[in-house]
Amino acid sequence: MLADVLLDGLGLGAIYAFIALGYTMVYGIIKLINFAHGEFFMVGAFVGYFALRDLGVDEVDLPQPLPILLAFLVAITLAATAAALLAVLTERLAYRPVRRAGRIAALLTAVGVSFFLQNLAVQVWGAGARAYPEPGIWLYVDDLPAKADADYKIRERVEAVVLKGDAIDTARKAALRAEGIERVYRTPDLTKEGKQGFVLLALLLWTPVLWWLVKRTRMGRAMRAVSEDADAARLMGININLIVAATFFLGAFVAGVGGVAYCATYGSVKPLTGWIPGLKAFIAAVIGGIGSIPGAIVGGLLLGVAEFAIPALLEQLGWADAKAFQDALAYVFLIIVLLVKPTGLLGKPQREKV
Amino acid sequence: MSAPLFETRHVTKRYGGLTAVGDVSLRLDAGDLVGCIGPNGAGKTTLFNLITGADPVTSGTIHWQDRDVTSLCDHQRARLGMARTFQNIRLWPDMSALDNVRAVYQGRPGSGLLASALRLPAFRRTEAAILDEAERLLDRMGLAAHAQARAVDLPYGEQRKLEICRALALSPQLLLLDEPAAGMNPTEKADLMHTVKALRSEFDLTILLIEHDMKFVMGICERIYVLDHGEQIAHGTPDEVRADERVIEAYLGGEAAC
Repeated sequence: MLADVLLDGLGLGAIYAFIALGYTMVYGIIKLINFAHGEFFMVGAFVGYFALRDLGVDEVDLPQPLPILLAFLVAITLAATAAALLAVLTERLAYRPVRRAGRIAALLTAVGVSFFLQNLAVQVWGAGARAYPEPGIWLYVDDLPAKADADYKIRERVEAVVLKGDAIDTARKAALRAEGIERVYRTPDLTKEGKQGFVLLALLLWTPVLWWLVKRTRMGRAMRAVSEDADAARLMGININLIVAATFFLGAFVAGVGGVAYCATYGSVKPLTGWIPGLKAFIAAVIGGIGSIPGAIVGGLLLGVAEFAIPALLEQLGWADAKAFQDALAYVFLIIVLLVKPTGLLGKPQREKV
Repeated sequence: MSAPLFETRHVTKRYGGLTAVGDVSLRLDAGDLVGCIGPNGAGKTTLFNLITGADPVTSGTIHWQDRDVTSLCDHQRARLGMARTFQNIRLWPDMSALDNVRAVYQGRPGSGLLASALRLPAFRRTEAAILDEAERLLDRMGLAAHAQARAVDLPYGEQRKLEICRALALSPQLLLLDEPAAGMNPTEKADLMHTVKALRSEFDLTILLIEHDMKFVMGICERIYVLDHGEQIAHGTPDEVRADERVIEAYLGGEAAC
């Protein structure tokens, strides 16, 4: 019970963390709440969808892990790169022209870009949800157990070919073969927990890479310099436009990875996919202290856990409907954190500029 | 006569009806150590902002080795070889002293995200060279022991030195010092005078400094420009400036005696 809540929470929280990283990096550099960030996540998820579909991941037999792993690697790379390029383009066309026009103008631009990208996605890809491609387990008709141990189908056909518990005698096998069915397919036993484990692992692998990029490379040092005092950075020969573009690239790249991870875990993608996770990730970034990279990770994981733990706790205490208020409770959690620590858990107090 | 390293021609900056800097023409030849003085509000810091490109000029032009650089923005001018320090210290407070210096090297080739992500050998070589240079600069300014300390945690005098360090990391030809002696005691000031002179020959610098402290400016600069209400009212050697009627009237007053 406790382990379930923790894994559910950490798995979802890792996704929030992936998105929150981009929010926090962009905010750290140019003090912009980039509301379109959730849409970069969504576009990444779509690109990952097409890559996985065209690579034929759902045709691969699950017992062959290598091709599947490779397919996911390719899909994630393509998705992340596409999201990153879209972010750079957005920054260049929409945000840079208003960078000096004040924070409200930039914020409204971001909201506008968010709606624009959502609706563009509806126009291009349709408003409906699409099932995310998933590797399956294939069996030859001859190898079917005498009593079917699961639902088996063929990919082209929606209705079931063999239902769980059906008796598969010689006559039934012959009937299937007469229909031209050589192999059947069933959905894998990959549990949601298993996938969430993968997402957590991906976050664990990403965090040191990001840390290294920001702390140990020239680009990262310049990013920190720009975020601490952009005017001084310019006068020291640092090209702000380049640094801002690099930040958008990096932030959206991570969001693209998160997009594929999220949709592969929860099973579908649609143009509104980025909306709620984007909003929650923004909350996560604020809880952790916006502008702080460790804060984004802590805030993401914490919000994820809180979303499952608080309703579970309230259920134990006798409030049967607590689950239905999961989202509302997340916001209550945000309000409590901000009341206690207005700069977020790892945020720095605002330094007065002389 | 060879082209000056740096020149402003009739540079003017107006904010609405207020003329912060009016018709200032200033010339620096390679190796010069020049001061710019004037009472509070004379437009000295504004002039620095115009020189570095932090503020655009209203009229007039700015020249670097005979090239008109008026339209270049601040980071491009910095890359030409103009580095500055600030009157109010503008270090990156939460970064270490070492990183404050190293961040300046961002524009070097081989610094791309891709190169760093792949840890290419070229990236590692440049990174090692940068570390080497940054440590040498810190060592030169006596800050080696503080390399890992956050800039904001350094004592005031050390922060000032770190700002000079950071400026030197740009390998500048022209170093602009904005009130380098502000807040220092006489011993520190004497020390700084010595350092500034020494840096000029060590790094082949041309130096322009703004300073309030008359003794400091008179003691170190070969030529002095005097601004008052944004106007350039005098220019010459310290002795000439000290004797100038308008300067005495506008600025030095009773102080001239000391």
